[in-house]
Amino acid sequence: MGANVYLESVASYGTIGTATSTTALTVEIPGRSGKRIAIRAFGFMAGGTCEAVQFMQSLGKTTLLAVVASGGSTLSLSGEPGPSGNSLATSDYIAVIQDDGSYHYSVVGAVTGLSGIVLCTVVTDSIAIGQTVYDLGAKGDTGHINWAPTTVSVLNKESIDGGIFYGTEKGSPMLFSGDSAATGLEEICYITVDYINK
Amino acid sequence: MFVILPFEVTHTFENGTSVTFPVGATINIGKYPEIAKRLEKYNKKQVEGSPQDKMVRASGLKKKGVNGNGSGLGE
Repeated sequence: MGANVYLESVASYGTIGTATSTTALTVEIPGRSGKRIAIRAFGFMAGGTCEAVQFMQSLGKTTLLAVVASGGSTLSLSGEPGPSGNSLATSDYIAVIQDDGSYHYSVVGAVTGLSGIVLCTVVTDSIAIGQTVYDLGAKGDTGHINWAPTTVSVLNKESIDGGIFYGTEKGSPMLFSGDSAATGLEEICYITVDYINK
Repeated sequence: MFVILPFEVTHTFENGTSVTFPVGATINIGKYPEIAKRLEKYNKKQVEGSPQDKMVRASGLKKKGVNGNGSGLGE
């Protein structure tokens, strides 16, 4: 990171809940234009199982090839965002920057070529051609930061000034993925983020 | 100190929880001194080369294929 690193802004994200048979616990950590995510502190507690949690990083990115209206659910991409050997597929997470600057997260529901990426969650603002689409992949993909607790009902926590680890680049989002829907129970998570200039 | 990891590494905490950082992850190694030591060894090896490279340099002989005209001596 070197010299002249300074703090641009801060944010906190978190959840208290329980994964169900249909909903995994996730916490969105949106990127910010021109700023890089530094995870300054976090804590999580495993519930009924000790499943590993992940800070899912952007594995690749591309741009939109066609306008998407607010409420739309189909994206047309200019290229394959994923890294070699890990193409965008059903059940992957993506995040797309909407025209209002917000990051819209969704699971991919279906893939019919690059022009038919169907989202499970409709976009909440219009999205212009050329906006960035990040591929966060799936939990378990290579490239994510993996935390594996060994004891349930214990708060696993870390913190350090300046950040513990960082996003892949400026503007790049992350997604905390707790317990999967299949196994249930991941009870608490908090994340404090420093957005830095490098 | 912030570094981009050239290798995957796993750190285990006292309570048994472990974290695995993938290749390319940017981390603060001030938090993980054992990763810093491993990185130091890795960097030293990159600079010095393999034990075979060091022997070749010490002997003053050229490695075969170096600059496209190696003699084969030192292999």
